Amino acid sequence: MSAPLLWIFFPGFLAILLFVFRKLEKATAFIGAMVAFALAVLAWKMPLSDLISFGPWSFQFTSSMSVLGRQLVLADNTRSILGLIYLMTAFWFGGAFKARAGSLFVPLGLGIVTLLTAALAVKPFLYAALFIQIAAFMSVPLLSSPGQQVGRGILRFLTFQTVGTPFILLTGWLITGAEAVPGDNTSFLRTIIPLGFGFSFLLAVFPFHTWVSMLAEEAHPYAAAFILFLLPGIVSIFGLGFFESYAWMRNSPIIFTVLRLTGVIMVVTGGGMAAFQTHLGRMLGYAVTVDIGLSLISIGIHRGINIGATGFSPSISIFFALFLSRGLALGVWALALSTIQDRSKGMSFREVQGIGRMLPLAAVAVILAHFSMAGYPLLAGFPPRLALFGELGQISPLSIFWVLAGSFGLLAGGLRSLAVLVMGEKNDPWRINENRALILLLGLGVAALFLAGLYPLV
Amino acid sequence: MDLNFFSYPAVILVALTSLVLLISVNWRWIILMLALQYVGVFFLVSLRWPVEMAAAVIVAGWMASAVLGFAISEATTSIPSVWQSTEKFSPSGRLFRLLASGLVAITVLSISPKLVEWVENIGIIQAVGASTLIGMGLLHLGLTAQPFRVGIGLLTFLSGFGILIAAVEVSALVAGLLAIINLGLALVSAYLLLAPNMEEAS
Repeated sequence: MSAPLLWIFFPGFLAILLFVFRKLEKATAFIGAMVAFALAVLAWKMPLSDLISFGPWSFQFTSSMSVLGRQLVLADNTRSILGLIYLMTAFWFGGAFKARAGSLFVPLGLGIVTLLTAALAVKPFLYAALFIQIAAFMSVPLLSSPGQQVGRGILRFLTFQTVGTPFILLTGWLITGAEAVPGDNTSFLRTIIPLGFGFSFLLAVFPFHTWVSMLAEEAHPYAAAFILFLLPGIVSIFGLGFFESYAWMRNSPIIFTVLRLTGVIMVVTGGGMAAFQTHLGRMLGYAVTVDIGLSLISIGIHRGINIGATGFSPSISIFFALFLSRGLALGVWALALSTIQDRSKGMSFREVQGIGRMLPLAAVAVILAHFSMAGYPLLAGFPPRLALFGELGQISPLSIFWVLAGSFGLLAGGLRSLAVLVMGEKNDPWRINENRALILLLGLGVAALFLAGLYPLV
Repeated sequence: MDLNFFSYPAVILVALTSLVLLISVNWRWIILMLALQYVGVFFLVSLRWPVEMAAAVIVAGWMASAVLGFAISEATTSIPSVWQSTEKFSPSGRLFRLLASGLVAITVLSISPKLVEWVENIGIIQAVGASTLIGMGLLHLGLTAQPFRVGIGLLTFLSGFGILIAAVEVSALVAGLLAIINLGLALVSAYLLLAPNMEEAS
């Protein structure tokens, strides 16, 4: 038995099976969440490349598998990433039924997670671009449900994801040239420019970030947030693979400076736009833009320590802590937004005005998740941001000012949402209208936000 | 088999087909031109790849054209207004597209020699063909918000990159991957064309 069989082929097969039985929405959500949770626990507990014994039976567990002449490798040092991915998947699938994310959410979601895991496992790792592209294709039915008009956001998402992939594939060839002649500026530029374009398209980096907010407005909030959490997250981890594989990249200060600058621009633009936003869905999109910017900064603050999984420099710890806090906050935010969307005509400020009086727990969850992503103290997003600001301050104090300005913009957006949600035209009484399951899920989500804030990972 | 003789006609073919794809409003013509475009791409790719590998490009391309053809045919049958209302552009709109194509042509002529310097193993013919398709694909994408046209624009763009990648890497796996991306894109575009008329899944 091999690790890729367990963490890639098995969930992939299950995704197909769940697709067949997608009409049984509750059952598919339950099975999907349970299996994802079991895979997370296995990744946490079971050492890869070891002899596993079950009573009298024992078998060798290998970390690699050959498929069509290429290798899928899930080495022992990837266990934490695997566990993190499947734990977050279980968390999202757990709320899928109550969020009314649609019958396709769990089967396609599991398929996407499988493909993205394969993207992290494939060797040579440049072929990961193909898996990411197929995952993006698979996201389309999730984001644009049958019977729904196709919006511009989904078309832009499809366009940018597709345009980015060939750049990465082309880089695969160019990068060997750059490695062969270290210090040659021309080869460096020829490689780094297409690579930069490729990742800018895939990661929704400024100025190719417009689809994020458009998608968050058009698509179901739960599906949109799931894709906005997973896709940029895995693409970023894929990007880290370049630094691990090519010494000339991690020894190039200019790359880290560009990453920091781009990140700061994204935080400022995302935060600035959030401050003036009047749509709850788009607000979530801008929060994601800010968070992607912070992830870029977290990679950009790397200072000469091995960036690989073995090294775990502060920048990488912050990167993964941001990833986890983003997953938590977006999950809670999206579930609460789905609840609000069910009871209102839309999600513009005019349509949700005063809905907090009717759905107080959902409103509280929206605001707390929003504040967490803005880095409010005691919430999940605060510790990684604090650590990030500390590291960034030692490198570029001016950047801190701009990042704080962006974060305040996002916080201002949260305060405006709070005002709109609680101030109805009529003086309606406060009443809890959420059902028990929603109260439990939202309560657990909010508790998790506080717990991650009080017991930080960094 | 030496197909070098066809390289110049192939560049002219991809340039003409990409131009017709941009200015035509008749979906039948568009599908036909897309299929023809893949013939040109096949000849340009076969300058570096063995014919049997290059054949994967044309087969995948024709399959993608067929998928899109079926989807647009179905979509226009069920609600013709969706395609026609967004696709009626005036003669001045067509002139604008022609002029924009002229700008792409100027850019192609200026950057192709640079591309030959930058990318080893690529000839000027392949460079012109690749940059024409990439440029026209991007122009197409910049001028539309219609799923069918977005699919056509992306397929054109990918064909251009396919020529570029074929010049630098002779690999059956790469040929397979590009074929999968082309087919996947056609299927997704077909879904987006038909999705508004489908019943809700849940």
